[in-house]
Amino acid sequence: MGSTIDGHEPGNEGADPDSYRGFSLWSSEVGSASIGGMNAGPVLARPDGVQTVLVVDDHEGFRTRTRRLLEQHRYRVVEAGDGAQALARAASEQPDLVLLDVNLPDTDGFAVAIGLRRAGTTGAILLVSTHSAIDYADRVRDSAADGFIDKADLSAATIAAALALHP
Amino acid sequence: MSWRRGLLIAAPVVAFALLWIWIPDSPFQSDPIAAITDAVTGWILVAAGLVTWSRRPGSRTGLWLVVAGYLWYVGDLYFVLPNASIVPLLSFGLRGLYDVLLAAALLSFPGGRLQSRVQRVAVGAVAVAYGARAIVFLETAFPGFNYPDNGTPNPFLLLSDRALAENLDIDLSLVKGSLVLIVGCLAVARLLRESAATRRVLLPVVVGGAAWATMTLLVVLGQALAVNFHVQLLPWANEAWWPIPEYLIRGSAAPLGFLVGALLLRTARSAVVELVTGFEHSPLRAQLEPALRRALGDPGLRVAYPAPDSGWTDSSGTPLDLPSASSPVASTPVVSNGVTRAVILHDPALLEDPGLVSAIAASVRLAMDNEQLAVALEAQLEETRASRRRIVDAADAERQRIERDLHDGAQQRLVSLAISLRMLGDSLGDDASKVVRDELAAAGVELRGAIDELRELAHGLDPAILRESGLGPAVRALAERCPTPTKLQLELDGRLPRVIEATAYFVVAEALANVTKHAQASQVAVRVRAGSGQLLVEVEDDGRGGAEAGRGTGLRGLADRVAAAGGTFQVGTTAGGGTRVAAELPTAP
Repeated sequence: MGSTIDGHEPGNEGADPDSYRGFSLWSSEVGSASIGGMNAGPVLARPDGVQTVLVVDDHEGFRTRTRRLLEQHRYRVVEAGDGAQALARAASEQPDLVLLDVNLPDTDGFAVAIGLRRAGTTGAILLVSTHSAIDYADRVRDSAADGFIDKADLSAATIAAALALHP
Repeated sequence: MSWRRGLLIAAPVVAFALLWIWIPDSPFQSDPIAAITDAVTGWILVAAGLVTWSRRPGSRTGLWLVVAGYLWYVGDLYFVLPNASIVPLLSFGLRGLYDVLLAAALLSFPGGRLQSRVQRVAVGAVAVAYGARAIVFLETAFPGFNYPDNGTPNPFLLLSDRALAENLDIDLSLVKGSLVLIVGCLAVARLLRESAATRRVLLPVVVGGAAWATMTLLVVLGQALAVNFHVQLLPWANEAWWPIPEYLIRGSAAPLGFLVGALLLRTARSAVVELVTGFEHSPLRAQLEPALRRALGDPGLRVAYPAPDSGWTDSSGTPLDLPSASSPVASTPVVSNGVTRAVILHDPALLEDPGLVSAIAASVRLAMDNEQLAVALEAQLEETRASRRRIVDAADAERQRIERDLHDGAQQRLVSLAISLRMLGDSLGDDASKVVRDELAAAGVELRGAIDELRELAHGLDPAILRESGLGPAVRALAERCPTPTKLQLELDGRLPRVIEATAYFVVAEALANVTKHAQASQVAVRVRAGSGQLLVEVEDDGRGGAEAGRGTGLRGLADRVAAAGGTFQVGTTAGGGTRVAAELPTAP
């Protein structure tokens, strides 16, 4: 334990935890609630209009599962299997949130995040990985994404919190 | 050898005993300078002979010089026993033989052979002149002329004409003097013709011999001119001081030359010592030829090596011809295990000392065998290092593969399962039973634990942070995770070879794990510093110490890993009694 950034050991994230821009702030709050509060029926901030989430991941199983989770909560889901597709889908769909896997077959999430921002994506960008954020050290801190989340912490609550970053 | 040394010591003792002590009326008692010069001359000759004898046991030159030395003393009997009938007469006759032996030694030193016909004729002529003069001396000596008046007649007397005898003696002296000069000239000619190896030892001999020959000629010529024409060849010949240099040069110059030359003769042992101590650096080939030239005193020496296909080359690979049977160059093969490894082409004069060249060849063979073994050993070591590196690389690759499999397989499935559980929880209506809710929550917690444990396992196998971000961030993450307060000092610039980063990372990880488990430390310092082709990794704690590289599989495994990466690994105790783990790794491949 302690390798996750879900708030178990917030003091272990470095000398300056606040530098995890937006990330440690909300993920440590929301992330822990998501597991512990799974059957506690958290109050989800449901959007008025249908919001679009772009799921970028080369694992089809994960994309499908995430799609079902998001659709259950009435999000519109667009999928991309690699970095190139992600940039194309983002341009055409203007997603409100991009769930961006760090490990991609053609590039990595950090590069895609920069590409998305350059291409004018205004929605929130959330890096996701089965690795913990600490495995990527400064790269997460310095990335163009708004935050990082452990794949296992993905829930309606974390999605809503991420969407709230870019209202 | 000891009996020869005994002779060497006995010679001067005998001489002095004869000259000064045993004979009460010795003329040397009134002329101490002549006595000392006389004694020392013989001693020098015997010494030169013994040295030559010991260094060139197969040569007769040494024996000739020793005999000449004793003959020198035998001649003295004439002076110290003037009234003792026939013995001094014979001794005086024998004394001339000294010149013959000296001439032979001069032309044959140090090999003991007269090499040309001219040399043999010249020495033979000196011997004949000596013999003629000795016979004239014996046949003409009567009481009052070269013979004591002691009542015993000279049994050899044929001619008692004193004037005729004197003239004959002078003429024969002149002949002998001229022959000695010819011998001197032949010696100089020989010096110019000989190889450098021989010339080195011959030079003092020839200089001494030339001085001896010149002075001998001057003296006999001076006597002849003075007796026959009453002319002084040398204006100072009658000065009181002149007999001293004359006697010294005639007596001691040649023996001294022989002594110096003999001392310059190289013994096989000293040559081998010089050769072997000269071999310090590899490769042997580049240094063998100059080393042999120095050790054997033969600047023309070459070393030929068998060429890969056929023929011979020198150390630089230039083709080299071996000498034919009629060539003036001698060749000595260096054979190891029945294979000719090299051939030494050298001055044949070196063969005069049979032990020398064979001892040198044996040393060269040993040095070559040694070098071959060293090369083979180094190759084996390199092969071992390479195989160890391959094993570590293979293990690393396998760990990476397992990590990737875990990440792409089980971890993804479990993550998907977690999302499914969450969806299930979200979709439960308010009417769901408490049992279902509790079980679902418990399953979520259980699953989360499994995911974290699996991630830890994958992280331990191949830390993604190391792969993705490099050694600096990876070590920083280790320091941040360590429960003991950690002071981190990183001096890294860019990425290093993968195996070096992984090794350094595991050193820090294992050392920190040990600190946490065993050290009871209050602080630990981690230093990772790259520079000048080296990566230095240090982990120092202020705990209770006691860690050893040999004990415990963790540190032992680290030592092996570091060694496989070509580095060094140390576990020691700090000044404060804590443990210091240090590894030095090469960063350049």
